[in-house]
Amino acid sequence: MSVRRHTERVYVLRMLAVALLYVGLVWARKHYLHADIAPALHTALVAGPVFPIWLMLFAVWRYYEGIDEFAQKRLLQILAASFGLSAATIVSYAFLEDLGLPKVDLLTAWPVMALFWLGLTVLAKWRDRVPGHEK
Amino acid sequence: MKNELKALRTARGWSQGELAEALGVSRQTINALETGRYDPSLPLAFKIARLFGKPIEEIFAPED
Repeated sequence: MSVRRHTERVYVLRMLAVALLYVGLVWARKHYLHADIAPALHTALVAGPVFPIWLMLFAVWRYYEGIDEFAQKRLLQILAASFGLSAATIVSYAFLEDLGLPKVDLLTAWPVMALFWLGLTVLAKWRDRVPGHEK
Repeated sequence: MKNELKALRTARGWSQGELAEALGVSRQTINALETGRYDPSLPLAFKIARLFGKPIEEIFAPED
């Protein structure tokens, strides 16, 4: 396995683990927030989702440090474009809610960002693919 | 910027993968350089020049 492929595999696994942890902690927060639990556990439950959010940034940073300059440029382009598109989509939707679109939770912003991020990553991979005869 | 990377590589009988390994970058990076979709940083350009034993300006040139 090439170094790049290994770096990408580790990155994907880290991001999946962090996403699962985030979903689990948000689920636990939602279901047990008002349960009769110890104050320390309540605090941990409330602040829990903060931890995987910062872990995600750490995973991206470690990936960035492990790839070459062209891949770094692509990653930054994808991040910039997906975050810009997400911001435009979310703000547009917020205004259109006043015209009757269904109200959605603020946390919906995450899947929107993830979808743009994933879509642009797939597009970039396709665009940067190496032709079979050049390998 | 245009470059002579593909011509230099093929003249030595190297694959993109072999050149990528020699430069410590990915095949995708070599392919992007050869197809003109990416201009290298100065450190990478110097590395390429050193590898082929040529001055940078003989490998990379402005599009005009």
